[in-house]
Amino acid sequence: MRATDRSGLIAPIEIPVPELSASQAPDPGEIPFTTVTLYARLSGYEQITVERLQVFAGITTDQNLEMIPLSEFPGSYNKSETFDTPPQNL
Amino acid sequence: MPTVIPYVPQRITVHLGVPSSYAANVTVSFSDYVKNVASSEIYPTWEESALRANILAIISYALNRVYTEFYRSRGYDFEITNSTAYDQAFVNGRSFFENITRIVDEIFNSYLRRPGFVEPLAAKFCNGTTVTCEGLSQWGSQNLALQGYNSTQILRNYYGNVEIVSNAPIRNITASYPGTPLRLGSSGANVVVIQVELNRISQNYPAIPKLAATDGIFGSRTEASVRAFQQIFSLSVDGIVGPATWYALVRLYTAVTALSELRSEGQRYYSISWEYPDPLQEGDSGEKIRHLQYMLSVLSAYIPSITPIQIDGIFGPATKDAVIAAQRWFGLPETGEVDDPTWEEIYDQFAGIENTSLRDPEDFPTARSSRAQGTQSTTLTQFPGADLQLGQQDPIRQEVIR
Repeated sequence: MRATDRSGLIAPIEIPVPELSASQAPDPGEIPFTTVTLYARLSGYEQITVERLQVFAGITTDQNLEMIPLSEFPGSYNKSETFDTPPQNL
Repeated sequence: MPTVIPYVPQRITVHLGVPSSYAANVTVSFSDYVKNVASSEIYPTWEESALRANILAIISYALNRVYTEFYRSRGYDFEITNSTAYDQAFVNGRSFFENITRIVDEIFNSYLRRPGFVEPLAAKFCNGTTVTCEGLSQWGSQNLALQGYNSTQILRNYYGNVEIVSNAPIRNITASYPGTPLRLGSSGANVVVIQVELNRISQNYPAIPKLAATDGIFGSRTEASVRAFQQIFSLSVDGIVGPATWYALVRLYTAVTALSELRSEGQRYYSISWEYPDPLQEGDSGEKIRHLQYMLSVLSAYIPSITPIQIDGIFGPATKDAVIAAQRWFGLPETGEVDDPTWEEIYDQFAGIENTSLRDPEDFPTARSSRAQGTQSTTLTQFPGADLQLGQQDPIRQEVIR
């Protein structure tokens, strides 16, 4: 769980990723990135889930999210939003 | 050729599905669109030159869709889809990679074109392993980059002779339809556009009568061509170019010239030989006189002492007056005949206007002949083209491709 600063940013997080060589040639037998699921929560706002966020060796991944305020009596269908990132077709 | 000068749109609307599917549209800034597509198509860990080559192809492809009004002219309310079977991948809400963001922010208003062609290259690409195509191979580009190719060399390897246009103008997307129907009696640059489109389409659909003169005047011959066109394409046959007919013309023109294909016939500003012909004088007529009158009428928008003239291909008294006025302006002997120095002076002045002020639609003043309306760009120095000759083959490279 990380809290954003006054500018709405969190400090970069380091996670273990596959070797750089995994993304340098077609079909090396392993997926060349690590996938992360991200949850963004703030009371009074839509809950956002980002699935299969990709992280590659040596490259920072930036995920921008827009927090959308909920109405006073939100219906269940507009309380949450999910973004999914399918893998590249390579 | 709805608008002459390609531009980078501020925002682009993406359809999240195949064209006719019931799916959402999202509108994003053009640079965010390119960052998204690049992040969705390729791995950010590739060599910088491979990333640049791929990003330029992505930008050019999207700008080609905007330039040719590919989906808008088919009645859709978006510029491009996210279906890789039709266009390029786009994942709504996805993350961007930091190095791709940096490159896109630097080059998002650059694109590829073939030398001499106006339209952004329809730079198709595929991954090169499971799918191969005529355009760029994504894995192949990385392979070339590892061998030390720079981005231009990679692009030339796949697309042949292409050049990179940088600093393209940025503006809002404007629909090319002029806003009011064109009908018998209309005139101006928009009429030139439909006449040129009709003439080119008539090469593939011979039932459409060819127009001898693309003069910007909607006369009875133009009306007859419009009616024939409407009949062939199941539009209401009224001889009036409203939105439906206008976009049908755009769609067909793009299709017959293959402007949205990798191997297009090419959209040119003009491919007229502006070289000095034999001396021209009162009483002469023909194609070269039309060129002369065309240049003079452009100059007349800038030089008040030159009176506007008709482009009718006949060197009459009005043309002679305009030539004398031009000679006076240039400080040449006022003979009223066009000799070598007179032609060169007129041409230099014309080319100067074309090269400087006309390239920037913001600075370009409303032209006398264009009836420009607000944001619409002008086709002022786009020469309407040469007459079609009997027995002409199709497609012909040397022919004027308007």
